[in-house]
Amino acid sequence: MQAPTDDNSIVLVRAAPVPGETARGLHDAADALRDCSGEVVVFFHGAGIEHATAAHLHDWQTLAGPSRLKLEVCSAAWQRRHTGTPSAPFELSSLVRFWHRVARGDRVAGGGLDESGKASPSGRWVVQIDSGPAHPNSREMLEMVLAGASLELPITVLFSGDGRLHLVGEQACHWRQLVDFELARLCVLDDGDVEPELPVVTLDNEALDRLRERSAGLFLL
Amino acid sequence: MNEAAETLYVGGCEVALDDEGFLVDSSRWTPEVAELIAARDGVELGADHWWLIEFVRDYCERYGNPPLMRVTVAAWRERHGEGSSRDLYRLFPDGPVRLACKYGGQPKPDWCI
Repeated sequence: MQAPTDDNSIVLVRAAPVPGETARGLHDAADALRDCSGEVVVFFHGAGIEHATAAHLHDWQTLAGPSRLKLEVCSAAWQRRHTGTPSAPFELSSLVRFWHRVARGDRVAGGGLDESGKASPSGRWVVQIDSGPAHPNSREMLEMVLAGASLELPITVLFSGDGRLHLVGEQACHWRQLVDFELARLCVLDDGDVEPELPVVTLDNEALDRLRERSAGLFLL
Repeated sequence: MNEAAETLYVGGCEVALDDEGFLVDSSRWTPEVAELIAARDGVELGADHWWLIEFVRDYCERYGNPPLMRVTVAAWRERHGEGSSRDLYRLFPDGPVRLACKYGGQPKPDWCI
């Protein structure tokens, strides 16, 4: 891993590329290269690992000229969907390395983000789960949280929208370990139509604003 | 389910292992199978090994994935009153949770944590 500087950036890409459209991840990576002087790591996770397949290689190769750009693919997410290894300039990496970079203070750019651009370095990281349960994405969202928790980073998981469906039925059993072993705090955005089966803190919009303002950063999954 | 690469014979029954020695079918696990798989790796299972195997098996059954190392260390401390990850690596130097999964008949952890 490159020695940390004061001005590194990390871009999380979790959405699969949409045929015929320039991916948002490419835009985010280009912006990060422009805006920071240090290392820029694009981390592909979940369905986002499809960017590292042959069909999209050319777009990223074009961008990957600067040696300070690294294209890292979550090895578990890749191996669940493909055999072998992705072609250069992509390389396999891990969620733990991703969180190491977050913890060392790399700026979180693109799909992650505190939309206000503000962050509280001493605050908790917020992982907002806004999409419903789907295989294997549900498991990979939990793994994202567990990887951060493995480094003992303070994490709050916020369930909103369809993401609240993770809190009922069989899905809830998997998330329960975060509560039972105090690995992360769980919150849910109050919407009334889902009754969580886990002990979670219910937030109204005002409390949500406070959570975001005081966070170290927010990842929207 | 992983592909079978090898077969153990336990009590006259065939038990398939994958290329890394994990059970292909978790339902075939028995303590005797655990002893045999561990013996193939040169490990004789003692009381602390068994505690770790059972802890990991229970965790996997309850939550659907193996425990984090920090969770396992915390449970070890609760049992012994003290300790660290070093104690767990003394039991299984090549990866305490991974090997507890292997000998405990759990699927090979496929995550990058």
